[in-house]
Amino acid sequence: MDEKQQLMQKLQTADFALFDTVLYLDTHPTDQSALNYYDKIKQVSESLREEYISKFGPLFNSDVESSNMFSWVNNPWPWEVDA
Amino acid sequence: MWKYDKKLEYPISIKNPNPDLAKLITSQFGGPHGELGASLRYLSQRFAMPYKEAKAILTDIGTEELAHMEMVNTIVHQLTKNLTEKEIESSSFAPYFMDHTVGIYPVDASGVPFNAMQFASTGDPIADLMEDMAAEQKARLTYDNILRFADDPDIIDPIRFLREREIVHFQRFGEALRIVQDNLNSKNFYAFNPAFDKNSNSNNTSY
Repeated sequence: MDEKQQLMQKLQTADFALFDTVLYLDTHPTDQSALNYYDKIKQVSESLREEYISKFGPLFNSDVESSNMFSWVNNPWPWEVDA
Repeated sequence: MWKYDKKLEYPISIKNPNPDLAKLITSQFGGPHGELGASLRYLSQRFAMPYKEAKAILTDIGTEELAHMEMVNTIVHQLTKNLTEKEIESSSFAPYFMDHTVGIYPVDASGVPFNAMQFASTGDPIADLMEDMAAEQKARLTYDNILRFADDPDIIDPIRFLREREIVHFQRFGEALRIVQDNLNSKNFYAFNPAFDKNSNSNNTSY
């Protein structure tokens, strides 16, 4: 696995932990320990996301660093094998 | 994957309920030219699209259509809020109410449930983009027909916004079709499928 794939896997792991915590918090919005975990994992996700974007390009269509090319359109798209 | 943004794309605040109009407008959720079919059509077609600009436009318009589906549903929801049983019974909304009360369910204006045929994903980028341009025109004319019957500015304003987006989408799909056609092999007179018949592209390199 190259650096890009490794970083993506870390981000997917952190985002999944965040997302699953959100589902729990939806039905337990005052659970303090879950809220603490949400704060923690949110920071992990945000810093991994920043690192990924700066090295490998946008994840949201609002992530493009201004330049002479709208890199949002670049291949590969998520359903394609990254050759 | 997708993340939900907790806001409407364009504000909607309808003060006066109108069950008759709700029955007509709900067609833009579950009808043949509605936003449910539009969003899932474009998001499904992406997988057969060879060109990056067109993958991007199918992704971004497909995502915007999800936001339009939410707007149409918001309009129907606000038009059917706080109605009395008497008001419902005397309206054309009564048959819908029988099965769905004032919940949101995808049907066309005549009450026919959503049909997945409307996804119209063929695996052929030229056929798909021609379909998409027609779909945007059909959605635009449906909004035109809604505007014929709407006299409340609270409804007219967001419907006009949705109508204008169909025109922008039509333009962008036209540009995507041009990108696909510009990449066809000059000998591909019959526009064979550039996603499947690899020799139909002008360069045989990957996209």
